[in-house]
Formats: sequence, structure tokens, C-alpha cells
Amino acid sequence: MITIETSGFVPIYEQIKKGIKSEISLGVLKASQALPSIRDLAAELVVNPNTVARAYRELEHEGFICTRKGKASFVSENSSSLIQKDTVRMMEDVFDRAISEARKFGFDSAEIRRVVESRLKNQEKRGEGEGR
Amino acid sequence: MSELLKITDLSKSFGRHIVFSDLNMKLSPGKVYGLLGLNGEGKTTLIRILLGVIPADRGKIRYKDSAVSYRSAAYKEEVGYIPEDPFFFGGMTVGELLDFNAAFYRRWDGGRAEDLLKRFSLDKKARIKTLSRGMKLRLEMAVALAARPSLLVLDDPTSGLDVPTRHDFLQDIIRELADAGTTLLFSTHLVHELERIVDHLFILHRGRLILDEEHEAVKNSVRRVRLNFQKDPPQNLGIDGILVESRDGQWIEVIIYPWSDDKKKKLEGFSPALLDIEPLTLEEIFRSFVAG
Amino acid sequence: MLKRMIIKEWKEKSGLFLFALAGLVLFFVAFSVYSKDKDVLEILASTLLFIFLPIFSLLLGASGFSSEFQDGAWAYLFSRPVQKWRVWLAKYVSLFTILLVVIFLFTLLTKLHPALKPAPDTFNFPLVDEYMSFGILAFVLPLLLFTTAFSLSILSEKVHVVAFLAGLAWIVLQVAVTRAISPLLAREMVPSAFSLISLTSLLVPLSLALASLMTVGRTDFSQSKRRAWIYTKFAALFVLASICLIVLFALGTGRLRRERYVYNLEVCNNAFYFATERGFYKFDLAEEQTEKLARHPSMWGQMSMGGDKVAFVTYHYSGKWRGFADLRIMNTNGEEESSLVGTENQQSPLYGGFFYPIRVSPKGDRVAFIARYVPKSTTQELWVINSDGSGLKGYDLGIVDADFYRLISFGESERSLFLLCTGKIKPGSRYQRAGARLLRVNLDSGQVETLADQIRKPYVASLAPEATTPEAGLIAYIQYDEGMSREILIVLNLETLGKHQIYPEDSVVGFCWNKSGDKLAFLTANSKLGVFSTVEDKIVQIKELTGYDLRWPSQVLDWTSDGRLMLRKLEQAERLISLLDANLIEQKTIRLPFPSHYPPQIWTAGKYVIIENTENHQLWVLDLTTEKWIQIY
Repeated sequence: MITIETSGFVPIYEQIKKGIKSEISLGVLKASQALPSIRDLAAELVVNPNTVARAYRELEHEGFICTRKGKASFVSENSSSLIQKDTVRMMEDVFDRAISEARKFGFDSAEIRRVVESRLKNQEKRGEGEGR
Repeated sequence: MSELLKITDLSKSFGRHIVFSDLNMKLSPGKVYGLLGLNGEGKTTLIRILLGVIPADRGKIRYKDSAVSYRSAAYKEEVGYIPEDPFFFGGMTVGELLDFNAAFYRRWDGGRAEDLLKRFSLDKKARIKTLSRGMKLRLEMAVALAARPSLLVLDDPTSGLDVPTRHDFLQDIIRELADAGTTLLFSTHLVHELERIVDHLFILHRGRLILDEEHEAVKNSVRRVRLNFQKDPPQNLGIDGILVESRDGQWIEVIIYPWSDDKKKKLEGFSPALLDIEPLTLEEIFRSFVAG
Repeated sequence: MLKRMIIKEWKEKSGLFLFALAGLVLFFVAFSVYSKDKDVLEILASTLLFIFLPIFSLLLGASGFSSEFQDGAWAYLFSRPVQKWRVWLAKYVSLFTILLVVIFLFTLLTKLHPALKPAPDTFNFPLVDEYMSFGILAFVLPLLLFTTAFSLSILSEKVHVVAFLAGLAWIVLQVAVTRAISPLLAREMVPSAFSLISLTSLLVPLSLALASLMTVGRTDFSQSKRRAWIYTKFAALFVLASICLIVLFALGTGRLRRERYVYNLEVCNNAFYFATERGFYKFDLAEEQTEKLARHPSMWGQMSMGGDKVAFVTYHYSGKWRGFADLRIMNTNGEEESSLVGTENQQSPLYGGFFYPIRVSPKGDRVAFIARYVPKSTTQELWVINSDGSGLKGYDLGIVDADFYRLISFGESERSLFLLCTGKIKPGSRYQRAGARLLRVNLDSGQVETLADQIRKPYVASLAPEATTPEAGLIAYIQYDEGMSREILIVLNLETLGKHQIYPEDSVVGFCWNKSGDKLAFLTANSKLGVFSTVEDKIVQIKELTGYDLRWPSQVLDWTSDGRLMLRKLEQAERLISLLDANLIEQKTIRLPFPSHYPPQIWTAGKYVIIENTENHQLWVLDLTTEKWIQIY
């Protein structure tokens, strides 16, 4: 599911892109599967169709999707491999933000590392219950 | 045609109260424009002038390269209007209102009107008086959209409606945008709704257009900066574009537009204990602009 | 758009329409209930025409924009792609259809209701004068009121206020126009007055409507004060333009021009003197020139000549409805004009009065006149004044409630004055006047003597011309004889007071003395022309005439100085006069130099004949010897 929130740094089209990429990497969107039309996605997300169009354009430019006959868009064949590289970059962004957030509260690098480790351990324990 | 609508030096006053003077605006086709402003500061007046409901005192309006005025009628066949408080002709039924309007618009699409009625669950025989506010809004939309407008002007249409209705309304608008590439001029004081769809922002404050900028650009150049000083904070930060400044002991919080690296460097030059830079939501941006 | 607007307006104003229908039903019932009572029917019809329909029209018009104001729907309507003046017009037409339907239904009611059918003269409203008719009132008045109210409806959403204002404006307009036109009415130029009133009544609502249309197209409807101000400016502009148009029209078509009506013509010393509304003129036969002697607007062309003097009455307006008369005298060459007595001066014994008629004595040394409604002296109505302004003397004729007087002439060496007077018309007998009395007043003693009464149309008596010098004189008049039920021509001997009936076999309708006073020509009701000789004391000629126009016998019969009679000959377009010799045989026919549908007035003077073209008030002179026509006025 793609969720959009407007209060942060991230432009909407980026969020859409991220959402789609997430769905591809999670396997919700499979290769050669059709993406929702710009119209439908825009309506569903309640965002400007231009924004969706832009997201689709950039995804196409980046190779994740392709558009046939100027109408429907499909997940491209090699999307999964592309996702890998991209995901790493995304995660780096997420961690960057977490780190700067921690800095606001005066955490230094050692404290940050400690928190990350402890949370990972915690999640691993939980994750076994939830499964992937 | 690069511009759908061009407004030059528009001025309007009611008696001695000047609503706005020398207003300049441009609308390009296919975009969503947001007209923000506090209540009673001229948004509705501007829209009424655009729709030829009232005349401007001075200034020019050009629609698709033709000059239009209070007396022009032809250009309005391509302009849809959803007003703030939809007032209708008392005892008319839904069907009669559509019929009435069909006579005016060259591009009227009867089939589309029927579709919209069905989609909005509007009963043709229902008297307008009996409709709820939300249904009246839908009816207005049906009328506006059935005429296949190139420009759709909405004047705070969703105020007073509950969230689900507003949500549905926006969805309908979006579908229209996607289908027809209609240009949208959306005036509202409910800014957060606009945030998801607006391309270009206008802020009308105290009779002047204090912001005329792409949404993204605005978002990228407004920042809230929080500084904390261990000693006394400086009296003057020495940068321009401070929209709002508030101090609390050793804390200074400023909202700055436009943000730049230069300004960042300057602030760092004060050696604050903490320098926190954040983006703002559109709502916060708007409030900052109209705070002054 | 129009069709939809009509539907919309019908729906919105359905309340008013139902009100009209209710009224229709009410009137129907009322007419049925009172079908036998003519007076009540007339009152009901008046109510319908002057109260119900006008009020309905005002309300309908005033409701024009009220619904738009109330809902704020005007903004919605104006945001549609339609020019605003079209909106105004569409609304007007839509509401107009409602008005039409209502008027049509009411007309049907008045035409078809059994109670109203057999009495068409029920609608001869005494208030409505002959120029108006039921049809015009029933349609035009509501239309104009509706238009006025509709024009004003853009100013406010309060229907009752607008309706009231429109009604008030209408009343003010009518009063103002009537006031402005009162001089015309006072001069009895009624057709002109009527056409000007109609034109104004049409143009002013039109101006208001145009102003309303323009205001809608140009002003900010959301600002009510500004809207009202702009409307007022436009309305003032258009109303002013209308007034200019009306004045131009009046001047251009000569409706405001003073009538050139020729009232009086007298011949004296080789010149013709005549009075018209424009002034007093002299045509000199020797010079063949018409000269204006006095520019004063004379009152009803009153003038009288005697000796070398001519007296006339002028009239001028001062202030509201008041006018003041002035009796003036001047020499026949136009010099030495002076005022004898006026009615404006409060010191004047005749203050507030009214002079009609006047008579100058044959020698020109005295002027006699009738002055009426003088507050200071109500019993003395006959007055005589010397030509130099001295010796004003009043005479009590002992007559109460006189209707009108006619001064015949001075007589018997200017010792007496002869006049006719009639009593007031009895109520109910509109076309039957009581007979007039012939009076002889002794100017020295003031003694009044009734010589004859029951004198009927044409209310003339005239002294045989030579009676002005010798002692005894003859006076001829037409008297109604009850026994014979006829108008009889009578010649009265002033000395013996003996009355001689001339040709009692027929009703006599007109007569004329010849220039020497020894022959009297007369016309009878059976188209006979007779000549009576006073010398031979018998009728010397009597002949039945065919082919002559004998209408207005007092105007059409005259003697030439050489003893020929002149009559108008009947032919298409009234173009001939014929001269008859002593044996009443047609001697000559003369063609008039102008085509005329109205009988011309004819005077003779010596070898001249003067004809007035009554259609356009020209005066022509014919020289009988040369048969040449000259237009002198």
C-alpha cells in the first residue's frame, strides 16, 4: 500500500515512487503486472494526477516500469534487480534521518549505535513471530 | 497558447475599503492552482470578478488571448464555477436546473450530465431545496463538469462538509483532472486538503499577492529553523526573509523564506548550541505567510 | 434561454398569478351578484381598471429581481455565460407573458360576462374623456406601470417598497406633465396636450427601463448603494433625453406652436384687421402688405374696432393656474397702444376678473365689455370705459347666474347697448340650452329692458347697419316659438318695439344684413335662401337651393358691397364659392386657391372677399374685379 503524508521533506511523487518500489520489492507487484492507471491511482491516493504521472515517468526513466501504447504501465522485467540497488539507497536515507533526529536530542554516535543494536535485537525476536 | 488566463493590474474596492489593487496573475493550462488567503480578504471577490459576477474597478483580464470583461459572456462557456454557498433557484428540481444550464453552454454534454447524476446518486425529480449541503455540492459539480470546462474555479466549496464528503469530492475532482486535463483554480482556507493536489500557489493577503510560486518550490524554500544558544541569543539574526520569529529565553525559532545555503552558513556563524532545520506543511507555510 | 427563463419565472411568480386568478374569480362573482345594478357595476369596473390591474402590474414588475436578491441567486445567474442585459430582457419578457395572460383573462371576463354585455355605455366613465378608451387603459396602463416597477426592481428585493416607489413615480410623472401642459389645456389645445401626455407617459417608463438595463450590464450588483446611484444617473440621463425629444417633437410638429386660428376679422378704412392667437394684424389693401400690430397673445382673439381705434384683450399667465387679463386699446395704425383696465392689479376695481366679450363704439370713443368673476362686484357685469381710460362705469343688469353674454353693438346714437345673455344650463339637459334674452341697456340711465327672449342658436342678433346713425333702428334675431316648434326670424323695430316675423313657414338657421341695411338674407332649415327687403317690408326673393353647402350658415352667407350674395358651393373638397345676383341666380363661381376639407370662413368687404382656410388657418383675399387671390396670412 502506498501511503502519502504531506508533512515531511519528501515530495509526493517521491513517496509514490517509493511506495511502488516497496510493492515491487515485497512482491506485491510482480514483473509484467499492470500498474493502476494514473487516473485511478491519483483518485485513490487523492493526489494530483500530474504528480502520479511524474512518478510514473521517473520510474520509467529509472527502468522500473515501462509504458506500452502510451496507455497502460507495467512493471518491467528486470525490476527486481534494480530494486535491490535502489533499496539500499532508500535505507541510507531512512537512517540518515533517524540519525539527525537522534542528534536533536543530543545523542552522540556511540549512543546511536547502541540504540540501533538494541532495537535490531528486539525486532529480530518479534520478527520471528510475524514472519515474512 | 501558453496562458489560459492572464490578469493584469486588477483592482477592486468597495467604497473606501480596498480589497486588492494591481493584482497580476497567470494561469497555465492543465495545472492545479491554489488560491489561499484568510477569510474575507478578497478570494471570493477575485473569483467573482473572474466569473464576471461583479466588475473590477481597473485592470485587464485575458482568457486564451482575448480580452474579457464584466460584459463578456462567451469565455464563460469554458469556465465552470462551483461557488462557496451554492444558492439555487428556489423551487427548481435537479433536472430543471440541468436543463436551465444546458441552454447556456455550447459544450454541454447531456450524456455526461446523466452519468454524473447517476454517479452522484442525484434524483432528477428531487427539489433542490430538499437536498443536503453535500448533495447540493455534487449537483454544482455535475452542472460544472457537464459543460466540459477548460477552467474550473472552485470557491471554498467544501467548507462545512464532513471529511468523507470532502474526500469523495476531491476524488471526483481528481478524476476530472485526469480525464480532461482541466485547469483548476481552487480557493480555500482549508489548506491541508489542497496540499495533495496543488501545483502552483497564490497567497492573497491584505490585498496583495504575497506568494506566487510553484508548490514544490515553496516547499523547498520554506524552512523552520530552531536555534538554541548557551549564552544570550543575538538580537538580530541579520538575514532577510524571516516570516515569523519567536523567542523563548535562549531559544529562537524563525520561519524563513527563501531558504538558502548562504543563510544556513550565516546562522551557523552565530555558533548556536543547536541548529534544527525542518520543512513545514503547507498549512504551516500559509500561516507563516499571513502572520505578518 | 428564453423558454427556460419563462418557465422559471412562471414557477417563481406563481403566487402572484394565483392572486390574480383569485381576483378574477372575485370580480366574476361580484359582477354576477350585482348584475342588475348599473351604478355598482360601474364602480366594480372602475375598481378593476384603476385599482386592481394597476396594483397587480406594479407588484409583478417589482418582483422582477426580488427572488434573485433574496437567494443570492443573482450571482449564480450572472456567472452563467450570458450577457447581463439579455438576462434582464429575458426576465422582462417572461414576466410580461404573465401580465399578458392576466390582462387577457380579465378582458375575456369583461367581454363575456352576461351582466356586462348589454350595457356597453357603462364604460363611458365620466372620468375618462373621449380620447381614451377602455382598451387603451386596460392594456397600456398596466404595461407602463409594470415596466416602471420592473425597472426599479433592480434596486431592492423588497417588493412592496419597489411597487410603492413605482406607483409614486408614476403619479408624480402624471402630475408634473399635466402641470407643464396646463397652458395648452387652458388654451383649449386639447389634442396637442393629449398627444404630449401620451408621448411622455410612453417615453419615461422606456427611459427608466433602458436605465435599468444599462445599470445591470455595468454596475457591481453586490453594492446596493452604488447600484442605486448609477441607476439614478442613467435614469436622469435618459429621462432628460426623453424630455428633449418630446420638446423637439412638440416644436417640430408645431404642437407647441401657438395656434394660428383666426378669430375675428373686421374691415375698416381700406384695411382688414384680424386677430389670431399670435397677435393682431392689419392687411393694408393699398400696400398689399400684412403687418403685425400687436404681439400680445390675445385671449380668444377678442378684438373690436370702432372709429380709428381697436380694442383687444390680452392674457398672460403668472404663477400656477392664474392668468390675468388686460383690456388694451390702440389706433388702427398700431400706434399709441395703452392699457385701459386690467385684472392683475389689486387696486383695480376689476381685480381677479375675466373679460369676455368686448365692443368698441362706432365712433371709437368708448369700449363696452363684460367682466365676470370680479370678487369686488358680483352684480355689475357690464362695464363701459372711455377710450382714454377714464369714466369706468359698471351696470347692474339684474341678471343672476348668467351663463354667457354676447355684446351685439352700440346703437341709437350710442345711447344704448344691445346684448344677449343666457341663463345657466339646467342639469341633465346637456344639449338643450335655455333661450337667450335680448337686452337693451340705456347707457346714461342704466335702465335695462328685455326686448325678446327664447333666442336660440346661433345666438346672434344684429342691427341693420344704418341703424347706427339714424334714430330708429332694426334688429334681427332668431327666436324659438313654442307653439310652432320652430326657430323664427324676427325683425324688431327699436322705436315701436314691433316684431315682424320673417318667413315663419320654415325654421331659419342663419341670416345676414346687406351693407346698406335695407336687405336681409336668410337661410332656412329646408335649404331655402330668401331675401327680405325692409324698404318694401316683404320677402322679395325666396328660392330653394341645391348643390350648396349650407352648414354653418352664420359663416357661409355674406353680401358683397354691390348687392351680390355669396355662398359656398358643394363639391368635392370644398373648392368653390359662388356669387348669386339679385335674382338669386348663380352668376359666377370662383375657385378657392387651396384644397380644404373644412368649410372656410368667408367675409366680404367692398370688392374683396376674404376667406379663411380653416384647415391650416391661412387667410386669403380675393379681389372680385381682378379675380386675383392673395394670401395675407
